[in-house]
Amino acid sequence: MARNAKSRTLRLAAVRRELAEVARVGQMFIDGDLIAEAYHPHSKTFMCGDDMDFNPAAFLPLKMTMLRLERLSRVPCATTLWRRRPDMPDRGEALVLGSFGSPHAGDKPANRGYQPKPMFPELAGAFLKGRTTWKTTRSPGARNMAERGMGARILGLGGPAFLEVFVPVRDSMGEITGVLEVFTAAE
Amino acid sequence: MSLTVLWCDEFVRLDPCEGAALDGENQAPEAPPVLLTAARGGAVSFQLLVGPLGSGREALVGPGGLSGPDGARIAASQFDVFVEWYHRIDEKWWPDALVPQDLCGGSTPGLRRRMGLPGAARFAGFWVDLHVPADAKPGSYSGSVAVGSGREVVQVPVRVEVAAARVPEKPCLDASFNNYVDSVSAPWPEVKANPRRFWTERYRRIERGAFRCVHDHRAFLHYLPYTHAGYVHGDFAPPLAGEGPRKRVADWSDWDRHFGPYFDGSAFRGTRRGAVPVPRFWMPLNINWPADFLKFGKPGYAAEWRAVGKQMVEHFRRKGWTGTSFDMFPNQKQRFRFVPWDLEEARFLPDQDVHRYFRPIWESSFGPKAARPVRFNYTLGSTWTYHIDIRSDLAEFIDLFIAGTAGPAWYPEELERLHRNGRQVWSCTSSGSIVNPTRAAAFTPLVMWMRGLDGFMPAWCSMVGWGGDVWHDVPGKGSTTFLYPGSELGSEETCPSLRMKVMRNAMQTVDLLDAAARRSGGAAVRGKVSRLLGFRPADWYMKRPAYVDRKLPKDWVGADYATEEPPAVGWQKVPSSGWRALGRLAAGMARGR
Repeated sequence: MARNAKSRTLRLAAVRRELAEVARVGQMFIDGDLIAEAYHPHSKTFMCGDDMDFNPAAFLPLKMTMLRLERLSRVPCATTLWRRRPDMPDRGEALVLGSFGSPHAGDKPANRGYQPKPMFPELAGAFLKGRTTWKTTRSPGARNMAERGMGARILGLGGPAFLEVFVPVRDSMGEITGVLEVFTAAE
Repeated sequence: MSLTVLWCDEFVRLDPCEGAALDGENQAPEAPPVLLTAARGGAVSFQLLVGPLGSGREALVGPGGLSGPDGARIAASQFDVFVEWYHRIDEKWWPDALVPQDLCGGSTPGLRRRMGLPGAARFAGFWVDLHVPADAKPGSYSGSVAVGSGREVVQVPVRVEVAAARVPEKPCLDASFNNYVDSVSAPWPEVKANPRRFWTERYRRIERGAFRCVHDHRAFLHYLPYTHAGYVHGDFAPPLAGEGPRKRVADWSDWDRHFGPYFDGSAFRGTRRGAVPVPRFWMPLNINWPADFLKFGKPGYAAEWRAVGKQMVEHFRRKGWTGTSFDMFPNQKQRFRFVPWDLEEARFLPDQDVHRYFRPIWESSFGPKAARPVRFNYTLGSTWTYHIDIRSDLAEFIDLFIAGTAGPAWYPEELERLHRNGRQVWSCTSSGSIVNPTRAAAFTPLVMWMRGLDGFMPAWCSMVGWGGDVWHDVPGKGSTTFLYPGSELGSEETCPSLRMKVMRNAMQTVDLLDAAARRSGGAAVRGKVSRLLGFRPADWYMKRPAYVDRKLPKDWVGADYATEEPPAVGWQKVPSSGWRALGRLAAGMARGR
């Protein structure tokens, strides 16, 4: 399977295998201890965009690992790293975006009225039960992403849609501190 | 019922049902003759209200030439006629989009139906620009404009006093109509749906239409071509090959074809302002282009910037593109979660260290010594931390600070030093929406010039808000829509707005004031303006609240903001009569060469 498979038609099973493999590698290479450090302490429970303040010393290694994972993949794909809100453990929040934003990352946190969303079942499955979960999201946005080179024709999936896999990421204490989402866009 | 034609200037808008004033100071429209004062090389505008129109009747405006002193003439072709499009907002019908009469054939029943006007709308509005040639002989000109509806034709006399003053060709202020790729193709769904649209002539004609429209109004479309992820759209960056010091632009040809005409001015051929290069252009340069962000902080990252930068400078030199400032605008913000900093509008000071990291890379690639005579500018969106940034080492490096409204108005004493060191300062501001009096659009350039700034963004965010149906349901009451897509009329051109015209006219006034200031001193001219409008010179600035110097921006809270005093000046405080007087003052002060 060529790395840049944008113009090719791929079988769903092959794409799933590739995304799962990238996610598996990501579980090992993403430093789960850095996830809790990605925001400066004063910013961890931010409730508006102006209060967001990342700690580059933790954010950048996470980001660079995610970019490497995307390039490792033989299917055009992107990654998103999720965290649980320390002040709202039932909420999942996109923490670091790789080359493209997850379809579930939501808009930028606004200056007023920002509310982290409750975890959707697949995210909860990875965070709370430590499972690998899959999700297919039908969305015209997949076409836009494919237009930008992050997609493939996937036989058996139809489009436009996102095919996503979620895997837990653990820290040195064995706790699940994040969830890595690896996804691709089906044209 | 016979056809009546009334006129008014740009500070009054009239509703199409009763012809009643919607703003200004409720001045009624006047009976002809149309009386105008104009400077040479500039445009002067008036509106016509035509009606009552019987059902099924169209209205058309046909300007004639004007006769002046000693047989001088201003040709009929110096007039541009637009049909006013009415927008239903807050239970009223407001004119804003201006449809070139050549495009729609006048105010036809079909066009009024497209607007959704009720049967009670018996009046048609027209906006007329007269472009006075720069070499026109000063003096009184007169002629007429024919207004016809069916078999009726009314000759409307027009008298223009052409002053000796000449509007400078180059505006003294940068007026950046900021916008983001791709915001222009949405009104043409078949264009938008094409993933290869950027490479098509059709897309490029549409884009060029927007650039030309803004250009003709003394401003420029500042069209940011990349996303917060650092993805550069379509062909807005030339293709790259290689890595590290061997990274290079593989092929300039398509990029040159698309954008070169903006830099040599040929894209603007046939406009009223002519084939002048676009003054500023947002480049694809960003944290992820030309260098790979994966290498950020490593030697290869700087090497890729330098290698491509050197090649870019050489290419631009060969092309002779010296009339444009090629701007880098670091726009990524951490709230989008692609990068861990706010590259603009930072609130937390350590974020600014990224620009310090870039400084040696930029200076060796695109700085004045490396790039001369081509001009690249590193710009910084600096709002929360403006007062700190301009007094830090960043002020040795940043070419253009794009501040908020308050920063430069709180620290006027810093401007002279910044200017002396070759720095430029703009403000981002709001220029009102359709339901605000048109004076709001006129006020922006005036206040920026009175504060001594180098330019402005008339609205935060975007000036081309073309999402949704802008003709029938303009978003945000038009506060971010200052131009309209011609798609509604089956055209690929861009239509201006009435507020854009008002802003252009105000910019001409400011340019005349600036010309006078260059001769007799800025303080003297600004003093005259203040006296005329009833302000003290200090009123143009804003009283700096104590918290600004006492606390770091990260610690500012709502209670601090509550201590701010409203500015002493504002469009609300300058009545339309003040604007008319200001126009006369400016033309009188800037005597022709």
